[in-house]
Amino acid sequence: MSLSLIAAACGSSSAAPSSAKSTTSGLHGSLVIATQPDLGYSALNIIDQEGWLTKAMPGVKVTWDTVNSGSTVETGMISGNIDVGAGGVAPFLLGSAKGVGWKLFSSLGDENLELVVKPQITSFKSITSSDRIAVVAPTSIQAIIMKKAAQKYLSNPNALDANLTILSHPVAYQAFKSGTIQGALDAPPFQQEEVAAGGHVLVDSYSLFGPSTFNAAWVMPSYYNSHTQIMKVLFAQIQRAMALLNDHPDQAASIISAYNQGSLSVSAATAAITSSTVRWTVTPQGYLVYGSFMKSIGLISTSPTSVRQIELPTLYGTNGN
Amino acid sequence: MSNSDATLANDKVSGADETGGDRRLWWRPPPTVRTPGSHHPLSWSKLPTLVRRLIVFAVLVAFWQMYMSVKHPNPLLFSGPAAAATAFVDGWRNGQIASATATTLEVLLIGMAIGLALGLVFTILATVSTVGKDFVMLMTAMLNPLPSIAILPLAIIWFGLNNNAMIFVIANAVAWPMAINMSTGFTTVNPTLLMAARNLGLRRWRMIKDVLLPAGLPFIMSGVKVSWAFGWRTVIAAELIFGTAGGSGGLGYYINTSQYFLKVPDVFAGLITIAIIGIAVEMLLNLFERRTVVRWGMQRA
Amino acid sequence: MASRVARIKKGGAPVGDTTGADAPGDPSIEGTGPDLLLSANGPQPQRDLPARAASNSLPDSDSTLLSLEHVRISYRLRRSVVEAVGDATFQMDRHERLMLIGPSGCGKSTLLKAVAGFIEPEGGTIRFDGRSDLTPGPDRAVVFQEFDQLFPWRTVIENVAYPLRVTGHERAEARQRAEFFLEMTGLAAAADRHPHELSGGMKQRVAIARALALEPAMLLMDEPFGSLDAITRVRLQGELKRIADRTRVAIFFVTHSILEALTLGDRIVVLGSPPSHVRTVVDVRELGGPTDPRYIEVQQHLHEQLGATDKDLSGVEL
Repeated sequence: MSLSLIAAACGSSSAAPSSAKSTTSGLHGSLVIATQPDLGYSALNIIDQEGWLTKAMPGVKVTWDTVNSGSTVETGMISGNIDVGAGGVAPFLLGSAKGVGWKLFSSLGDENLELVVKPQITSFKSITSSDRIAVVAPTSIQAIIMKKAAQKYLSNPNALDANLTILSHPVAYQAFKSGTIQGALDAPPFQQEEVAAGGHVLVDSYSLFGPSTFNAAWVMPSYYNSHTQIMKVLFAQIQRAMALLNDHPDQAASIISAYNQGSLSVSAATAAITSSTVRWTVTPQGYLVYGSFMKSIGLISTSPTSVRQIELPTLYGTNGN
Repeated sequence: MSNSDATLANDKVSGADETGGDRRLWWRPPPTVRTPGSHHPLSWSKLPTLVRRLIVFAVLVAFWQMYMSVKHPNPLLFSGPAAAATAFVDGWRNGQIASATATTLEVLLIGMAIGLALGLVFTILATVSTVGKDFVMLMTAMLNPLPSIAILPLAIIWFGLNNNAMIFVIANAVAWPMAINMSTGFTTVNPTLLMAARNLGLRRWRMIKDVLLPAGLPFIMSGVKVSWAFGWRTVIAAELIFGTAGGSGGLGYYINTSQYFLKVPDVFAGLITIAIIGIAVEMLLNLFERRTVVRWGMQRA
Repeated sequence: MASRVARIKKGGAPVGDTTGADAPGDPSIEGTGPDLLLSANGPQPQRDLPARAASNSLPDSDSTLLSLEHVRISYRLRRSVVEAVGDATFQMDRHERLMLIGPSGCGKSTLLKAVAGFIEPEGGTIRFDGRSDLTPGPDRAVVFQEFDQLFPWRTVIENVAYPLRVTGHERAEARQRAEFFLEMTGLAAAADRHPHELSGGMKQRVAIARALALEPAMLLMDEPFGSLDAITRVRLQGELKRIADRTRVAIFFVTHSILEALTLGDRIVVLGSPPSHVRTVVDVRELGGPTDPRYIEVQQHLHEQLGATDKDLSGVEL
């Protein structure tokens, strides 16, 4: 059933080279990977910083792009300029529903996202119309979490729409500290910094949706099928990075700190990596839950009914949900 | 040297001969020469302006459609004219584009009004005092080349995350080009006219209001046009950086959100709206110019 | 001279038969404004001055309106200082038409601008109506050579009426007065046109009407017909003469044309080449027209005076 679905997906995408060719090809060609400036992409950042891919596949020209917007990743992938993109749960589901055709290649980790608010906001009911809450994009997982919270606590998923302000994580953090916004739902390490700056956690994503992936790597099936060997090497390196993050967080933290060129201290990186809100895993989580919620409030027209529909063979057997 | 002398002499002679008093080229094409095609009853230049513009527009749309038919771009990246037109009509029907346009125009017009007023005040300051001139010269040299959007973070710290921050940024984008153009207008006023005005006893405010402003109007109008373009760019860019959800975002936010939701025809509908407003404003400004500087013989139609 | 007075009296009541020739000229009285003032000019010359000028004026017995004593003016070029006017000394009476003539660069326009208050002389004094601290003002209305001295954004009538509004006249009165002076300069039909729709001659007429409407003590004219074609120039000279006869306004007229000076002037002041001083002053009041045998004589004299100062006569028209 699911295999035939993949086959259909491959058939529908334009210019899908025969899979026979990919098995015989050596490890040559090029690979463009796009990430965003965020600790949620740590596994990929470690591979980049340590040059693991180049060492494993000297014949493959690997390009790492750091882009500032999820929509740039999406546009790049649709236009074929980015081979491996990465992003949150919600944009992935939205693109899938729109027929982009991308599939999950690997999760980059689970993260419990926290809505941090100023002390005067003690409950959802105490949020006034003049209070501003920052999320990174209108289609971000953070925006979906806000809708779920609004549905749960205010009985209307759109009740807090007027309070949402679209800000990138660093800007949101600055704005929260300076008091121009009263709440922020962004990502580590900013959510921890915001708590340190006097905020408190009003709600977190796990309490609304259960444990879920924060960011995952996506690949077009056509690219995957024509570059299976390269993809397998990449997946192995992601697993290797995950092991480092889980087993040697100090080592991982110094790599991450070096990757960020000193703007993130080793101790701060260690704290973020070892935070109780985070879990480093390649297994996707929460896609079905988020999908059915997004469908129930009319954001998307179709949602996946099984993980097989949305994952690539690398993830078969990892028991995602 | 001798060449320029000859030109000057010619100029003088023609100026003395010219009873009409208009400054014309001393050289004129012989009357037998006609513009190509002027013999044809249906020549392009004889068509009404609106018809000419519509034909150009139709050709552009045809090319757009041809591109769609030949290249078949991914509908998640690019939209054809038909889909864009449908999204445009739907967006206006359901009020989303209308409210986004209203939001953007409100912020833009307030910001521009403040910017134009500031530009005027700065120019007057520079006209009446040397200190004012030094101040305006320095500020203009520093701030005019700066993309106004670059000071948005500063504006957010000063004004908070609200329209005031955007208004400030737009006013800043508008004030300096306005001041530059207005100063040029003031300083290039015909010296004879200025002497005549002084002779009539015009001083300071009356001189500015009744002589410098109307005499500098051609430059002021080009300042307004430049400011309008700067203002638009700034407001759209500012809305892309921060916009408020829940139906109160502007056109930039509308476009950005549509892009996030991969609603490509809606992105194009937003762009078309911006283009139409641009055309409408251009027409308004041209109409104003026809009624003023062109009618007064200070600028050609 | 006698015939001139007669003409003035004839022209003194220009429109209709104004009875109040000696009535106080209250311009605000409807329907009588400019006419009254003008008609008063003839028999009672001392009353034609605007109030502010009159308040500063010397006793009526003093007929001198303008006096220049040892006026020296230089201007700065990029590296050098050029002395244009070396020593200008002459007087001018009320109602007089003084023609200032001289070769190119002798500083005649500069002198006019100094009298208008645009330039401060470096030495000597200029006294106008008893004052020597001269700033530009409508009591010395200037007509420039350049056609673009009009406000392009105002219609012809607005160009004439606007300065009157500035000098404190009521709207209706300003308009009425503007209409009167446009009529006088033959521009009534063009009242609602904009300056760019006028010929050069018409523009200069508007400038003259604008200046006259201010009822200045003196009209300063800086080669006003210099940019006109010959036919228009002759026509406007005749009109100016007629208007001046009628209004008896004093005229300080700069020209480089001997013929123009002879046609329009009471006296002609000839300046030498820079740094200039007054070569001669010729009284041409008693002179008849070109048929007068003395006319040729005077013309010859002026020519010699100019020629003696400047071998190159290219700047001087005969």
